[in-house]
Amino acid sequence: MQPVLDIHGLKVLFRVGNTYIRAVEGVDITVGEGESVAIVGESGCGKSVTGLACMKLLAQQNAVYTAKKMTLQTKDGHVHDLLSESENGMLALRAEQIAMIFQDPSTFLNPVMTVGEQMDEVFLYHPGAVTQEDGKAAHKLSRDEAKRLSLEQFRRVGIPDPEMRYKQFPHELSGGLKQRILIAMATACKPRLLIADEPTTALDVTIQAQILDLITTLRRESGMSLLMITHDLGVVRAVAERCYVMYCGKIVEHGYVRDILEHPLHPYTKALIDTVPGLDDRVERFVQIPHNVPHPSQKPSGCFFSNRCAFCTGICQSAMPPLREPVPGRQTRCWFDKEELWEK
Amino acid sequence: MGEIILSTNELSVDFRIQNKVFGSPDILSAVSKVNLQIERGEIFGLVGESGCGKTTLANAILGFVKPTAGSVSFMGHTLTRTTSPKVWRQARRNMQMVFQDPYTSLDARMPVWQLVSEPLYINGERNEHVLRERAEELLLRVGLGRDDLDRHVFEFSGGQRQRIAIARALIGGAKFIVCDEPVSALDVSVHSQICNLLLDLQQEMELTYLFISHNLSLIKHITKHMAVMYLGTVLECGSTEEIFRSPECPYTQALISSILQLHPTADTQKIILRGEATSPVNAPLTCRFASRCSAACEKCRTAPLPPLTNIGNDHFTSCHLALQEGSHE
Repeated sequence: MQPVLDIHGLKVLFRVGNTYIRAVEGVDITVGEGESVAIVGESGCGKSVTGLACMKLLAQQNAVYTAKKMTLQTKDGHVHDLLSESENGMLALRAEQIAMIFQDPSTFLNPVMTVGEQMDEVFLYHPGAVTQEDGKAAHKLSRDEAKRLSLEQFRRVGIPDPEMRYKQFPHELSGGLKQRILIAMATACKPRLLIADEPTTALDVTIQAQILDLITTLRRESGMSLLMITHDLGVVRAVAERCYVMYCGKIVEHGYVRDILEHPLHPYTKALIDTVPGLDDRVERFVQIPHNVPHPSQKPSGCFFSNRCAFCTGICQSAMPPLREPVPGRQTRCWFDKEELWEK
Repeated sequence: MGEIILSTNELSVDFRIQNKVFGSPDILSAVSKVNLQIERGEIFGLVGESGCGKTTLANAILGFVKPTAGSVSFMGHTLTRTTSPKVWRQARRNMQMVFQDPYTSLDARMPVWQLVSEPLYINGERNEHVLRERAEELLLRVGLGRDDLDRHVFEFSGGQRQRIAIARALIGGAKFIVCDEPVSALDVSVHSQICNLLLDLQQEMELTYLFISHNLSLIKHITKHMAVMYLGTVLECGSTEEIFRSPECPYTQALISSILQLHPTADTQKIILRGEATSPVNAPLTCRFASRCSAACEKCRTAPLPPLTNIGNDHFTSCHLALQEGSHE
């Protein structure tokens, strides 16, 4: 079956002065219909850049991206090649087929427009998505119609007192409400794929629970696919079925979330899981990963994780391991099987 | 119970907001009648959502903002609104703070040795040789090297900057450190490094921490006592183990249930709170959580918030419901 999002060998380079920094180095990601997939990794591992590349939102002047394949299947079954799509073509795809929400909602809302006006714009620019549904041709929406739809959308995402909120400016709203507004805007045209880039990192734990609950409900209602980008394995477990672990621009592990959390194959994944202690027994010391994430221009030779890996040997420092599939449906980028490493 | 190193007595901080041309200003009550007792040598956890007054409380303890009412008792000093700055300064020599964001809390133009030794300089030590030597000693202690003395902060990663901030807090020999979300700005893999460093230093130098965090699982692992704050009031406090075992206040229950666990032992029922925290401007004297509380009764909305009451096993709560149940039994 044709997946909704199909990426093969995505590479993203940024021009810095006379050199290039390799942010993403050959990433394969697929998201099936109605599926919920997560990309997990630390800051600087290229996960947000991957998300932005899917939307083609990276600045053309200094970002270069290449891929063997990067396609998006739309609601009518048509497969678009995102790489060759023009900017005008992307404008039609964004919001209606593929939409994105971001970590810090306040920087993505216009501070001098009321949130209601910003919500209306989605409908005014994409009238086709709401008026075409019952077989009739798309027609332009009037301001009043747009407002009615906006209020309905505000109610759908659980914004209390939508009439009052409609007239407010972003600075009058709390972080949780602003994130709800962004989610309302992103899901207004019922996109096929929602990319959520750390949507709850800036929020409190109780609000995080609300927002994750909202995303899950919306996904269930509309059958939309989700690509969740996060650094928090707890969030991954709460919303995703399948998961890609990224480190330094490469995918190091891939599989079903439950399998990965219970039996990680890659030393990095295992280390990440071990650093989050369970609630049941009290630990005296936390498991730590030595050193820091290397700067994209100073990645070690061989396996990028070799300088921080507890199981590093000679081959790790000389050659990058391929992404192999030791267990069906699971991939890991390590020279060794986990039995050889930590289950001895 | 061990010796109390710091306690607050009905500590309140109000801010006046004059946003009307005429009429009296609104009162934003950021911290309201907080009583905490921190034992020497322990790690005391303070949790709550953003905007609940955790940082204001820490600032009031250190005297960065003057308390409106109440007092702070610290190593024999009683500090109130009217205490002279000189006494505050004296007391503050033994208290230090590690801030959340090491990217903004360190002066970018100072070399590291000056940054680290600045507290000594302020306290009158002017011999550069001595300052460098002490800075080097502390840097080695927090896991940095001699070569780092003359570098500037922009050359360091987030974790290393936080180490510099810790060295700076410790150089004056302070025994009481307020850690205001010391790891939340850092990468996940660096979290543990900084937590372990803080734990090691605490053991070796017999320090006392007031550890502010919104990460409940971290609080559970490292602290002995904790307090849960909501809109400036402490709703529940006491032994960490006891609070996690049987949280009494519905807010604490919701907070604990919102921890995203990787390997949940039992699929616990998630409590999802409705709405968001209301504004602390002109806050009522009743329980401030009542408007979001699913179990709130008439009394919660009308009667004033009861003081923290011991319900046994070193566990204090000010929740009407928990106190009522207790009296029935």
